Amino acid sequence: MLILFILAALAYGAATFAYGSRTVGADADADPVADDTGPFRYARLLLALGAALHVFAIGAQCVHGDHPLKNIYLANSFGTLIAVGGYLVLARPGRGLDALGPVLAPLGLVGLALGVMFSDVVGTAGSVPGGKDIGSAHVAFATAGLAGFTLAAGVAGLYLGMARRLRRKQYRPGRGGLSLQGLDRLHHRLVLLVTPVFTLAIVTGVLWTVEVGGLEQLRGRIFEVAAAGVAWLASVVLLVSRAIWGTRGRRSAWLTLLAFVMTILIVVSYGVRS
Amino acid sequence: MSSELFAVGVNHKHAPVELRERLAVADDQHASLLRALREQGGLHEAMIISTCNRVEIYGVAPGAEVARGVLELLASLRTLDPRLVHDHCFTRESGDAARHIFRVASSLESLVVGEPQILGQVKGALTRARDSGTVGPVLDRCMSLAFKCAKRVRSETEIARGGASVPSVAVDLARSIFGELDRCSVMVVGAGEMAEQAALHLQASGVSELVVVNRSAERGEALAAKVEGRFEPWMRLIHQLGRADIVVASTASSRPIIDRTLLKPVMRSRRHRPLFLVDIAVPRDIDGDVTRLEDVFLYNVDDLQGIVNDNLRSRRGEADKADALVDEEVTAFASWMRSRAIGPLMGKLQAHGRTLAEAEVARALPKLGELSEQQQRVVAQLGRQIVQKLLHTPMATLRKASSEGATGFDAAMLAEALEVLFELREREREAEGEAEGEAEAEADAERRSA
Repeated sequence: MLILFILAALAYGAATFAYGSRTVGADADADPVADDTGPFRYARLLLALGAALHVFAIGAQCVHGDHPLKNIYLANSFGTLIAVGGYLVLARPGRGLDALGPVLAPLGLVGLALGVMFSDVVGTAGSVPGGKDIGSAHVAFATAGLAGFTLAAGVAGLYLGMARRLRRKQYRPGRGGLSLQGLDRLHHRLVLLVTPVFTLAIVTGVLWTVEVGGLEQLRGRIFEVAAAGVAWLASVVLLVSRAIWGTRGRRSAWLTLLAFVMTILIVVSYGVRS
Repeated sequence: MSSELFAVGVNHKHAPVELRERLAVADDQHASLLRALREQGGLHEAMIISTCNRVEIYGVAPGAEVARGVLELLASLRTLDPRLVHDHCFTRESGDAARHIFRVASSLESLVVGEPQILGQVKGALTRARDSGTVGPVLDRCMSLAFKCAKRVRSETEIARGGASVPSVAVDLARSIFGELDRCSVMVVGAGEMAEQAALHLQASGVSELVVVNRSAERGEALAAKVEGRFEPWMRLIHQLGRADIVVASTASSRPIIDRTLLKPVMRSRRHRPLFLVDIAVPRDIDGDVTRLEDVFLYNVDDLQGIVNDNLRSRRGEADKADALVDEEVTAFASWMRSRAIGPLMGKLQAHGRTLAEAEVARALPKLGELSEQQQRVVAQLGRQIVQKLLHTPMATLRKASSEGATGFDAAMLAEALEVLFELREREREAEGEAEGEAEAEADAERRSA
């Protein structure tokens, strides 16, 4: 188990360095995506290796009874793995999504480390009699939702960055990758995919809290409930306004980022409580 | 006789356009000029590249003097003073010639480094030379390596990245915003030369619809017909602004024709569809204030020219990487040339070995008494195999020395040694003498019978 953790952490760390080597190069200001040589060439491979070892590390934890639904840290570890895996699938060469790598590689490392360090924390779903099934479902949906929002927010961030550079005439065309509209479509699809999952996470979370501690406990969790409500509202507004008024672009991207920030706040709040 | 690759000619680096246009070779003149180069110039192989920036002849000649004479021939065919041509021309031989050809095909010698047209022009020149029958093994090999080199330079460096002209940068920017342009509608406002250039570029990039809006219907319709677009009258400008994804403005108006007040309701009706505005008019046609509107991307001619300049700077920076690739291919070509030079010697050595084996077998067979056909074949095969085995090592060493220079010996020295050790020159002379004797005897016989 420990050796898998060390190897996965090393791979994630190396991937972080490899992705970072591209953005901190001498010409980074002039042309942040110009240099495909050096360690950057191996960044994707290292991230994939880190993700694969992360899978084995989670597998080893499961064998010892520390499954991803046992506590928030293990769930987050699994969530970051989903986000990294999703990124590896989305960011195939030539799509210009490499800028997300420097964010997701350290995120994978943090998720992995927290999952290993706090694997023995007395958890939520698994330890609560009577609420086990619904609690497990909640943690599963929330984990998938968080991973989905992470990816969507990453793509939305790329969209905003590209739009900003285009408007300020700082963008250098002719380098391939996804277009501005392509990024907009991709981020919309990700939100479309993650919103129903996140809705289920909220519903199961509320039911589980009520089942375990009644309305009193739900009131005690008012911050998480409110944050989840804002995140859900942001993603629903995004989808509905796009369907009805065609809203897209910057407004959609900011709504996605809002939803993502809210989910992060929920996770932090859970982490602090537990 | 040894053949040397050479390249001679004039290009934009050394010769003024007046001289280049007088030396230019039209497509239908290639065949006759190539024939003249072969028959009067004494070239073994030849091809001509004639573009607006260069008139160059690549060929294979028995010696450097012949290559230099090509220019005089070209000057005389064009009734030009040979000294004038000499003053502005360049001559490259052997490896330097190959390097020049590879650089030309890879667009490293072009006026706009990395431009893609030159490769097609070189391919066209080779096809014309092939049709005229003036391409032999050396040019064939050289050009196939030149095309390989060009492909590597384009794929392994960023020499061709980014547009090198204002319209091509505009198209690149449009692709960055919309992706493929096959679903994009373009409106060109104005019917001047710049508008036409931009419209042609956009049409070539595969836009779905191109609309020309102009104050003068006559000029607008003419441009629309030229760029396979559709003309719309000036009063439809606002309506078209709502439909178009890309707007190219290039009118002679002294005041902006598109401003924020005009565009605001249009953008509301577009429901957040991005609008890419390209203003290539001076004075500007689009007020810079429109960039305060969401989903509007405005680039004027200075912005576009700035990107062009950056791209050209970046291309020049990539030239060093490209040169390293060119060096690799030049080395491969030089190696092929050396291995080609030892080909006849290998042939002579093998023929000598074969003759020896056959003679020894013929002498041995009668001494072995009565042998079956199969036994005779075995003996003949034995003789051949012994000779083959004996010759294998010297031949392999020579081949290695000529192709890689890896044996520590000079290939030419080894070849000389083989010729001396096996008395190949004497044998060749003897064979020639015998052939001449036979020819004379046949002639005598014919005379007698006559």
